[in-house]
Amino acid sequence: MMPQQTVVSKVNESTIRVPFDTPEHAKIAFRVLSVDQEPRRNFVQKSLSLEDDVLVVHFIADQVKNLRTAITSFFECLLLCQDTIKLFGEQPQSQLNNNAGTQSSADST
Amino acid sequence: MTLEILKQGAEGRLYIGEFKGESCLIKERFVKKYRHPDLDTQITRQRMKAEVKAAGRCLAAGILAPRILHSDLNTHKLYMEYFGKAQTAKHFIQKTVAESDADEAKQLLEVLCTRIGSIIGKMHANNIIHGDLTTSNILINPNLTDYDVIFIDFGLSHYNQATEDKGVDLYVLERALLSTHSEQPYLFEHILAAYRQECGKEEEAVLAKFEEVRARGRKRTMIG
Amino acid sequence: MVCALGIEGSANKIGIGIINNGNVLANVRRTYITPPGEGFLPKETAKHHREAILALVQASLKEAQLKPSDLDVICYTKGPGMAPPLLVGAIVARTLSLLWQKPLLGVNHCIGHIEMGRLITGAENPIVLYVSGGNTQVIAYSNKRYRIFGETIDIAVGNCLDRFARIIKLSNDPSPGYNIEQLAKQGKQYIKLPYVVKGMDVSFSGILSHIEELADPSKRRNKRKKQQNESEPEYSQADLCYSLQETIFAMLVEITERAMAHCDSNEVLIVGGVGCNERLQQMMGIMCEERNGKVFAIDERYCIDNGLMIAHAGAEMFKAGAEMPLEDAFVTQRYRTDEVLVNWRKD
Repeated sequence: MMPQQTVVSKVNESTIRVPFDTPEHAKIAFRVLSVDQEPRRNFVQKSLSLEDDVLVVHFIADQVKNLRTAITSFFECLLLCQDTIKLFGEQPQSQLNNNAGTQSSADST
Repeated sequence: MTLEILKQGAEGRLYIGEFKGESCLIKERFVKKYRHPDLDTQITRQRMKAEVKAAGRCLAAGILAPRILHSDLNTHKLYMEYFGKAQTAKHFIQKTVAESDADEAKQLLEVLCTRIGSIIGKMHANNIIHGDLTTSNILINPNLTDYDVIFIDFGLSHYNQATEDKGVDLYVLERALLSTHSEQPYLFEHILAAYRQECGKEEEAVLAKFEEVRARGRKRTMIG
Repeated sequence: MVCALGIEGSANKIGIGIINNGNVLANVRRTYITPPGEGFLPKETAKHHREAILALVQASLKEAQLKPSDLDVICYTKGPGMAPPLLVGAIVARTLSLLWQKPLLGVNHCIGHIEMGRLITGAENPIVLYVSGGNTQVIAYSNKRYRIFGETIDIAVGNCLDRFARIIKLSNDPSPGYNIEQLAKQGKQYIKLPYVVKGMDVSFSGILSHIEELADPSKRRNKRKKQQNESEPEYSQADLCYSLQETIFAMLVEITERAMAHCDSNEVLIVGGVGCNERLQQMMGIMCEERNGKVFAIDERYCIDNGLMIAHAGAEMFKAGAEMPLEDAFVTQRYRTDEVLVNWRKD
């Protein structure tokens, strides 16, 4: 009897949880990153969801290689979106205070 | 002799003149100063020769084309038969659409397209590639009962039996129709149907090549 | 009054422009320059754009002396172009649109070039020759669309020039085409090359392989010929550049003239990256003079891909009432000029 090859039908999955400063920012990232579909040739399914201020991304792929490619591309977009929010979005009040605090203490030294 | 300028076409100036007492059209491919003199001379000679040859081949094959009366390579002038009452197919189509109701126009134009398609099929069956098939290069010349369809401007023509050349010829025509007569998208299918009846035994191969040329156009990347 | 910010990143330039009611307020751009002999690849180009885009958005707002709240609409290039760099512009545009609560519009890159050219030159209804690294089209407006009368049946003119520049290892700084133009000025000998015009269409791939063999005889496919000619290439690089330009530009001018005759028009507008080549402009000018026509051309600020053209075309669309839900704000590699309904033109 041949040894069973479980590898053939193995499903490759990955879930990434990305926390944001505010639920608003998480929602913006969710909407921005939901637009693009995975290329059909990649055989990767990507689904995005929101849990308050956390963006949850779930990937399912037929091959590990495709899974990694999809995650890499996703991170490139995610980082760009985050940087844009950081630079042009209104920062939450608490963080502004924190920054101000660091700033003043830095000044005093 | 002063000549009456009829029009400045894409390739040269057109005059009404005379050759050996016969009223004729003179097409002067004047020197295009924008291009290198060597290139200009080469192109002008090539195109004049092509025009004379193709006209002869068409007439021999029973396809209407202007008779070439005289060709003067030194002055870049071609003396040819003039169809004074003719209009271009482009104007004919536009006029028909403007003056008739939709169904009637469609019917009239289908007749025209069938005739155009048959002639192009016949040209290709004789391995004559027109090279510049547009509705500006097809004349509608009224006769006693109806009209004749006459192809003109054979400057880009050549003699070739390759299916690629025939496919490109059809592709150029299809694109010209889509851009010039975008509101009458049915024109080309009627031309093609009639074409297939006349284009000879290589029908399938030419059509396959035409599809391939079309696909190349669609697949071309457009970066930058 | 419409104030629009435009983001363009379909190829190796990333640019941001701001326009207010037809007045240019900002037009900033960075180019991804690769080493001689190398073209730009999608992934690396996208990386370049990601690293440059946010600073450019900041710079454009500063140059325009505007706050985000002064803007009416955010525009980005939807296509055609390379997907990864296009996506960089789209991601930032979507994010800004949500952050600043401004409507978002995706613009066809080719339409951007055409509308920018019309704005800068004041040409009302010209035949448009659109020549760039990815496109070669002769376009005329009719019945609410920019219709393509002629185009390349294989590679784009800019692609032909870029690839030749790579073969002879010219610098890509500021652009391969610019360096060919400069070197061509020293060319003296005209070398005969294939000249391929089919109706209002052109073909460049045969010319490219022919001149490639002239530049590098070792590439010759015909082995027998190669043995006879193992020595140095017979022509200087300057002669090759000169002859290449003379031949392919003559083809472009010819198909433009064919379109002018076919459409009964006497105005030409040249747009796209290759359009700032002064020799091409000069040749087109001579052709137009011979038929009492007029040529309109623009300089590299507006001719080469830029964000301003996207802002301007987007502003025109916005004024005409265009709307785009966020779900539709994707990018597409293929997006033909004649797919766009030009409902902002009154004629």
